[in-house]
Amino acid sequence: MKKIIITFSKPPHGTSYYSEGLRLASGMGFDDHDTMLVFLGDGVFCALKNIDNKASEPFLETIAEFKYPFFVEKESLEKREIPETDLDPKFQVVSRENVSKFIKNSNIHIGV
Amino acid sequence: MNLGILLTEGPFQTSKSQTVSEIAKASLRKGHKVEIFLFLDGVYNVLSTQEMPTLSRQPVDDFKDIIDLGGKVIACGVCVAARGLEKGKNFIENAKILGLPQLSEMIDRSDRFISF
Repeated sequence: MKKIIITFSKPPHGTSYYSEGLRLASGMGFDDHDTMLVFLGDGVFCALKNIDNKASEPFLETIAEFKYPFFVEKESLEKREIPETDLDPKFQVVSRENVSKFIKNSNIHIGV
Repeated sequence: MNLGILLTEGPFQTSKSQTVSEIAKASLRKGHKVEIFLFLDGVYNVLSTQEMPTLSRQPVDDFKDIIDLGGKVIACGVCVAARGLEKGKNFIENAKILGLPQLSEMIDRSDRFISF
């Protein structure tokens, strides 16, 4: 069992990295890895309410069953002037310093 | 050391596949174990039918080298199917088509894991 951090740095539009990153994350439950998802850079746009999650629904359901936490980086939100009130409630806002600690405390980092 | 690598991009677009193949070969020659999981367009790296006329060696030749040096190369089955690659009909020998459970197992075995 490993501690895995998956970082999302691309927005939900324009590429398939968001839904495919969620699919990858949903696969980590096969070996009970301790997994967290962190959205930073332009990845914070994935945390907005009401984005089109149709392609991602099955993966989000699996991730919810495994209870993997969703974090979004505060500094990336601020740089993009995204207020926290615009975020989907499953996302927890954390500082960049905390993201660094998450990475330091993980065995495996996957960036998508 | 067991090195695991995730590659999400294909050849002929960015230099990631070349970077991965060079890291993989250097690691294998040093005696490390290397496993590569090809995800998204990364699955194109093991197509034997690559033919860039300006190159004497195609990117797929580097992945053949990796397998010949003892490395394992796995392509995501869903990604292969999504791209219409006919269950890897034209993939190089010994490039396996498996799924995310095998990525999870690879991660479990890895001492270090890097993603591109």
